[in-house]
Amino acid sequence: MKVAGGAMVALGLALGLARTAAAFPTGEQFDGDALKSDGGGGIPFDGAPRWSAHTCATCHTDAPGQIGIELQADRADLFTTGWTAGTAYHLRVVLQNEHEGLAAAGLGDQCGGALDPTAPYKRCDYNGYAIELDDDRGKPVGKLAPVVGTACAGSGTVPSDVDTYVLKDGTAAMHNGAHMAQTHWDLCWTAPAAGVGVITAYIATVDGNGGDGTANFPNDTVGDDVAAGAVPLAESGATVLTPQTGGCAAASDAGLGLALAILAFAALARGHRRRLAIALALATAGGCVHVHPRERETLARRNMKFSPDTTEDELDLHMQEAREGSEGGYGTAGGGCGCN
Amino acid sequence: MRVQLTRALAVGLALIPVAAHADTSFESKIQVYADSDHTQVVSPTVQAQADVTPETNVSLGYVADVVSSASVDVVSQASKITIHDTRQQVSAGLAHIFGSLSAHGGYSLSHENDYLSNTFSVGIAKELFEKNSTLALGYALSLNEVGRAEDRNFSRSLTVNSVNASWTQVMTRRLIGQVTYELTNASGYQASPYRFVPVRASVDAAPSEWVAESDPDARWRHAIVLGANQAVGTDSAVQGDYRLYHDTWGITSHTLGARYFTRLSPRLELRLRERFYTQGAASFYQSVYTTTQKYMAYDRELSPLWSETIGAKLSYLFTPHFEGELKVDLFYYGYSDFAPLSSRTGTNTGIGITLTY
Repeated sequence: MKVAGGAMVALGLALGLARTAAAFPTGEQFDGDALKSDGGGGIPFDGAPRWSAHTCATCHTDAPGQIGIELQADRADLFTTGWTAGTAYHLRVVLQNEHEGLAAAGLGDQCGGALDPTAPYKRCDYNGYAIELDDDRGKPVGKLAPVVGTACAGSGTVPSDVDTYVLKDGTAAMHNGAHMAQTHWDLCWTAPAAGVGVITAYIATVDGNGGDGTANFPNDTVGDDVAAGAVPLAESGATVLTPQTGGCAAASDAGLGLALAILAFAALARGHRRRLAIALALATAGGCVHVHPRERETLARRNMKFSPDTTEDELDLHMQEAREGSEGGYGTAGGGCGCN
Repeated sequence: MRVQLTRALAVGLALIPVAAHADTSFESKIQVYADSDHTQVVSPTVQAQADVTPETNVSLGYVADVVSSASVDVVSQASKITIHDTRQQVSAGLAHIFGSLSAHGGYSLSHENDYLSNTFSVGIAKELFEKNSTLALGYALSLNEVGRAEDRNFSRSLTVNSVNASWTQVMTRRLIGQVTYELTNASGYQASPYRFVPVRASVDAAPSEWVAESDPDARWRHAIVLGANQAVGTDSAVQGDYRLYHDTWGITSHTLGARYFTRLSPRLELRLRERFYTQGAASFYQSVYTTTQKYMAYDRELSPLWSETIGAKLSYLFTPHFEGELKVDLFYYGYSDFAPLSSRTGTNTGIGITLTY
């Protein structure tokens, strides 16, 4: 990918400890079945909430945490005014402070048994990354693609040595694994339609040490460094990102919440239901309860939904409503008599 | 090193989430109800939904109730037979997201040989306070035609309008609460065309006559539900809810529900549930009618009753996109003032698969 030098905007992430080589040296392996082919089962391990925030550190344990990540883009406004609907951005994920496998970095792709299978094995410098961009519900948005030359890959044949592999379901991108000693990877991301709001880029990287230095284990999960982080991207023209400082939300909705609280209290306080009025007022003043999107990993789990299985709920409700004198409050139970 | 690699992969598997992304999914389930009152209901269902655009989701569904019953409803009407009936329902839904506002609409058609129901529903949900709160409003209209098997001249109508509002609130990083209110108005025929009420001097006396069941045509129902979900440990959760219900027929009921979710293995999730329900009788309900009255019911659902349900469900994630489930519920219904039946017990079992993409 060719990125306009001066226009490239970098956003550094402060990141922690680590150490190992990529257990999934090729991007395709992330799509592989976990049991049948030692694959990732479609999980990018990029730290996104939909995967319970699991990162490369899930397998690459005991990492010293000396590396960092930088997300760059060819358009400065991505990190300032925000993303624009339908715009194709050239992104670059940069692994900073590489320190593992450096002895093999100079070999580039001329490592392992690449040149002469009969010659002694030469350790490779395997590094990798993964990224996905999610809306605040944790759903991947926009379109990811490798960069071919200076353009985003279209529907045609993609060269086998591009930087990036995109998962079959299109939800995440990661290293293609075609080249060794890479410390940055390029990809394209086309922003979704307007109205999505804040989008968060979840990124993880691995600074691999080249396994045990033999052809038996050219890469493993031991001795590598890893890092992960998240970058919120505002939508251009939408409400400016609220500073993530905690406390009571001062968003535009606060006025509505206050109005609802006053209405609830005024409607009920006249009567004898002051306790209910106070409870409703507190509930409608919900703007003061402030859990940030990045703090909602637990809340996003299926077992935290009020109706985690709507199909089963509908069947059960239909049965209950046919056998009890009450109904309502739990959703729809379908139609029909249910007389038996 | 091989040992280390294998162990690392095992850790990776252990972290596969139970819930795969569910915006495009296909579900197929079958549930079997059987009780001690000689009623069996087999309910196969198929549901599918898909994101046709990033903001638009469509859904289609089919469910059937294949009923076989010789309950007291049937045998007390001097027709000691086992009835067989099938209800089929098709449904379609459309949902669209407009930024922080989402809207949905749906339609369902339910048909059985003596009952036809058309239901339309719409709703909106607005996220507030940086999505810490969600206000949802809904409306549903159900148009029903009630018939009687082997009696083409019997036809009644029932119209049901309902509105609901809910407020969902993120309380902490691990606690979420919800309050829902639903108001329903039913207008039209609400009795059973098959039930006749005995008029007699006492429970043990022989009926002097049988009178067609007659319920009021109008019924207003009020239901308010308070619920809370609390995360427990790393992957478990406890859910609880309480419903207070009252209607203009005089029924007041209380419902308590609890669910506990926990993961037994990386791929196996267990859900335990408990539900307690109790209600008083409708104002016009009597266990014995000594004289003919304007409203007369021989309906155990309008009598004082209570029930207890306990159950377990196992969900197993075969792959990140394929899940199977097995559930068993055991229930008990107690009737303190309904002469033909004092209690019934039963099971509600189910098996299903879900594919998600």
